[in-house]
Amino acid sequence: MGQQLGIVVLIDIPAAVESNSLAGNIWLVDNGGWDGSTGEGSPDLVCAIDVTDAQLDPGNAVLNWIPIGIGTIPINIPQTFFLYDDDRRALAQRPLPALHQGIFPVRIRNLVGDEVNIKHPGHLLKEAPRADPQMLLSAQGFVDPGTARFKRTGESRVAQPGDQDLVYYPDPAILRIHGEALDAGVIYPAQYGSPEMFSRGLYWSASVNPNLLGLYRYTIEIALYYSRRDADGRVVDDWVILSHDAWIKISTGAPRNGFPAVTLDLVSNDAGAQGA
Amino acid sequence: MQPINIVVLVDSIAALSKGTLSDNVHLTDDHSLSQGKGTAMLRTVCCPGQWLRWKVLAVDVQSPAVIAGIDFLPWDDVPEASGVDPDIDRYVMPRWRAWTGLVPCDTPPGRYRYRLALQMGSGGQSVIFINSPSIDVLG
Amino acid sequence: MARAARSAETAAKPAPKPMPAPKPGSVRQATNVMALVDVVGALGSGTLARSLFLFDNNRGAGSTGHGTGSLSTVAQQDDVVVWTTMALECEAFARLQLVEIDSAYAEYVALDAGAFSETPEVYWLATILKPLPVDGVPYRLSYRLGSADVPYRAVVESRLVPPPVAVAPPIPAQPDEPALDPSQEDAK
Repeated sequence: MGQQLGIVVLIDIPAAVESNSLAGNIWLVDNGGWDGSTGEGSPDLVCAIDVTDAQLDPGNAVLNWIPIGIGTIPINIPQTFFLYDDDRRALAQRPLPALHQGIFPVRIRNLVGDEVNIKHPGHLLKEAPRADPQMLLSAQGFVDPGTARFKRTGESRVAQPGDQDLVYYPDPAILRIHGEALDAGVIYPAQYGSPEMFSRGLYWSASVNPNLLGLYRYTIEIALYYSRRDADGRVVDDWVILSHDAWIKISTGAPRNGFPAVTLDLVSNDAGAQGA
Repeated sequence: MQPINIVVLVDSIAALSKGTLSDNVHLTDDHSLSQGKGTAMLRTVCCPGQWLRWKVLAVDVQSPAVIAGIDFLPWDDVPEASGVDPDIDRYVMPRWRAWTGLVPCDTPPGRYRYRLALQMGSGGQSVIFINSPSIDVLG
Repeated sequence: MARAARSAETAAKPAPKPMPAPKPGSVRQATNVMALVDVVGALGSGTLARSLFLFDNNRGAGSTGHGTGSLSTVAQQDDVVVWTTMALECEAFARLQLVEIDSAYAEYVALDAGAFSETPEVYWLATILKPLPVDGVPYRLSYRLGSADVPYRAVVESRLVPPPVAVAPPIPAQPDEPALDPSQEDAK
């Protein structure tokens, strides 16, 4: 199996939520530029997939979609980054302390046999990590967001003088992939779970049918999440689902043997049966 | 005779970063007597009349790697080297090539080195060669 | 993967109480300039041309150049601009090495760099100290890619620019014409 194609879908979430449309607020980039993809960095990406080697080397091409919100925490940061301070301490601690008073000794052993002092666990952070108020992207815990910027005037309904507009937009999630490319049986997408600690561990991947050539369109439906304050001042989460079209182009070339003196019938993979 | 499969495993990003395949490529094959498996100095044991099949795999799933060329060196005292291939225009659509070759039946026994060129991506520095792997033809 | 409806509450206070009527004020903003680097493309061609894609989340205020190697980001006084990096290939390494701003513009921006706590992810941060000049503040980005020994520098510069002027100035009346009615003037 050759190179897997990764398609990064970048979205300006505040602008998309405000205009209720992805037009002008979405860009796609893939890593197939060397193989002929066009429209890199624009909304109109055509992924080029050359399936010549599907005849030589069994294994389908694989596409992966990665949705990214511009302004969200970088995806390489693990999800433990978002914990409240006391959750972080709890993770750092070993087993739960016994609830019974006086019946169990203060020093107990955990599952692997290490002694744990419940009253003074040795694994607590010595001092709480301080959140830098300037550095809003380094939210320690869920920083209470200000109002989502719905007005182009830039005025916030809830603003403290001297505050920055702390609005939190989680990474968008792809809900569904559908369209012509699926109906024609060209790509077979599915949502997979991954141990990667971003996008809540879910991502979309598709295998490509190398037998159908041509240009096919597909539609991605993306959920954009945002937080805002309602009239009572409570923070609520909301979302909007928008869709966008992109294309894949499947082409094949003329397979040849790299050694010029050898002619090889490449329909069959059994080289031993052929002659020079 | 069974065909011999030779697998080239390459760390594309390290190879492109350093401009060399030394330490970034590992070859192995499925013949029990071959020497140097897992290194760039693979010596594939084979017989005249046997098929050899090369295949490349990139360590990173989203990095490209394609065999651009396999050329047997005309003589043995070429110094072992690896670097960016200066003349990449002679490789025509390596994407479309299969690398299955036949050791000619009249080949004298001995060691024959070959120059393996890999293309990783596109651009002037994307084709890198190494000339230390070889085949060992038995009598 | 739809989330539950509006019942998800994330306020820190347990009992919601009505907030006092908020005063509208100007909003200071943190703008993220995100760079997507095609590491294999840059290493294979020896340059960041066509392998660097810049985006920001301030298109609503007038930023231009999204998806290219040269971005003009709108920023105002007291705003903060944060540069982050993503490698296009999931297993590739890319790190922002330097945001190069000429010292002639030192009065306009205060630069800082750091890493997200307990991670090796680097960010660069610029605080805008005063309104930006009309031509903006140019900057150039440099990246460490893969295991290459030398950093790769962007081939074109990007800019931090002031907000575009929205309203066209009124056209003065000509001597032989009656004065224009204000409603007939061009307004944006």
